[in-house]
Amino acid sequence: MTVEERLRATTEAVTEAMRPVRPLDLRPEAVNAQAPAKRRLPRHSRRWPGWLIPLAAAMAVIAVAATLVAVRSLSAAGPAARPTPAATSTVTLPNGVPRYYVSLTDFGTSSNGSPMRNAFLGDAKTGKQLATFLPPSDAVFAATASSSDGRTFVLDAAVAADLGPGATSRDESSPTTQRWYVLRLTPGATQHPLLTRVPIASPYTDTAIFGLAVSPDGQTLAILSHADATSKSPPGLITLRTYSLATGQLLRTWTAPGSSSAQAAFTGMSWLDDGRTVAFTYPPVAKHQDIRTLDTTIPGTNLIAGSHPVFPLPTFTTCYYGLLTADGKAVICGTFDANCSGRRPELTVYSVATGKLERVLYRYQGTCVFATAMVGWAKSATLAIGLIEISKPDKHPLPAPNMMGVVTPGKFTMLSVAPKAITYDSPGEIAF
Amino acid sequence: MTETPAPPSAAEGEVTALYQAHATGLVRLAMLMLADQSAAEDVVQDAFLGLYRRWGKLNDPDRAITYVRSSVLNGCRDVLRRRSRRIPAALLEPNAAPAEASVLLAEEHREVLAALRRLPDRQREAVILRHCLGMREDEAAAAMNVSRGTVKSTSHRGLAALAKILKEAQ
Repeated sequence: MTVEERLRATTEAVTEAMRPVRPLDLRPEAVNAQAPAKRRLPRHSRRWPGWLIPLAAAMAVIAVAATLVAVRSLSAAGPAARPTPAATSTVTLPNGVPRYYVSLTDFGTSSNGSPMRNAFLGDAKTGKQLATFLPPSDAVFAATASSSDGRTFVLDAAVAADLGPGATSRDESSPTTQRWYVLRLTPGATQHPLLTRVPIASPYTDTAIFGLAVSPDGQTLAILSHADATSKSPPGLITLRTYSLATGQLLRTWTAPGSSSAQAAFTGMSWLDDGRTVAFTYPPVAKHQDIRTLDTTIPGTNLIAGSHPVFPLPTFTTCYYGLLTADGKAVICGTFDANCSGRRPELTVYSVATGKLERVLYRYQGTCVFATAMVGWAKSATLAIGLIEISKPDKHPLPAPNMMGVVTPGKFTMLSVAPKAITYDSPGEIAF
Repeated sequence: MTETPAPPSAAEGEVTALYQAHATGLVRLAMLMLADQSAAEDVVQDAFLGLYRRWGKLNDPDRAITYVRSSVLNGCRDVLRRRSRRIPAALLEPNAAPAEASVLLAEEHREVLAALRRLPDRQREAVILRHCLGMREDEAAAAMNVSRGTVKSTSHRGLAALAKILKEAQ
């Protein structure tokens, strides 16, 4: 039985177990008794104020008309792009840590009912938000990835034909496709950076994307996907393709059999510093998964035969979104479902050579109700960027106390990132 | 916070009609989140009371049910947080979640509910809205106040995490 079938069966069982629902009590004493409780529940801090939404929707239309997704600096964007006040203190970044990042952020729905998700470019050194990118109105940003030189970012936008202006609802039968955009940062440039479309002839209609990686030189994009991943039959292939980011030309293709039960579990895919090797998690959903490496310069088209398992991932609860370090020597794992009184949120390092736990790179020692630790960027066994998502008593809702910082053995140096950047809970939502 | 003015007289009829039409579905949503019908009904009642109090301020009464659905999700998050503060850590392990005991279900369904409780908030909500209740992506997005893309990616990630949790429990 698939997970979806189990969910449906459980839903039916819950429905059958329900007693008749009691009538609504609108007596004045009930209404008045309820009011103070509601006042104790503030709105989610990461949501944008409702008055921003119409302006933001208008800006999205402008972006479509311009073909390119226009980059807007804070000064140019006006109130619609004004973020939650960002930290402005300057931090000293350890050598080799990227200064810039791109983060995806939800900010409500447009006036025609289309949900909105923008991307913003931030400076982790100064805490400034440098630019905001709005997707075309028929698309939403789904994932981002970056090169290890910290100068090239790629954005995946999921496009639905019926999400355009005037749309009032989403037809589930309408196919979803993908568009790809690249952002290149030029040192010393005085103009705003532009997000430009990569002319990939997309074969990704109704295909789940579960991994993106950009080569260290920023010239090549690797996309790991699964056609028909969410349909019952027949399952499509799991495919890894590489493309030129300059031209959109398809360079190489590797395939492996798919699975009808596989889901688009966006994984911590990475491109190693040697410039040749891509690391990915396979199979996408299974009790036993491996991180595999593929040398993209060796001939072949078989994703499994052409790649090598380098590290058997520990259980999901032990290793949350493990990521192979850029030097290929270690895997850094996060922690899922920690509670601070038993399991603590921590980032752990496993040796690829031995497969054994090498060290606890960082362990959060504060209080929490529950917490999740994730690695967002991993240079080596001793240098990474981590996020500790913490829920504390009387802090409702998340993510106010979250922390994002540079992690070295036993030390967590907070990054000066915009508050909105620390809301991600899985790979692909932020790239350094 | 300023005091909300008294709702218009028409509000009671409108809100009651909405409750009669949607309460069962919303309680089911809250039960999947909380595994406790009494708590689920409390959350749904609170959401409708909130709607009633704010009826005069609604810009678009046609979207009232979207507002209520979001309120139910917020209420469930709050209950889960209060519950997690109250329950000893040892009981938060998947096979010992106490809330499931309040719904008479077979073991395999209790396992699913316990696994759902272990997902991060957004993943749990996306999975329940999309795969338990069969809502469209745009409906789920409106309820969660996130984008369609987020619903799609988050529900996929949630399903993947759920699959792993259930496999590990085997």
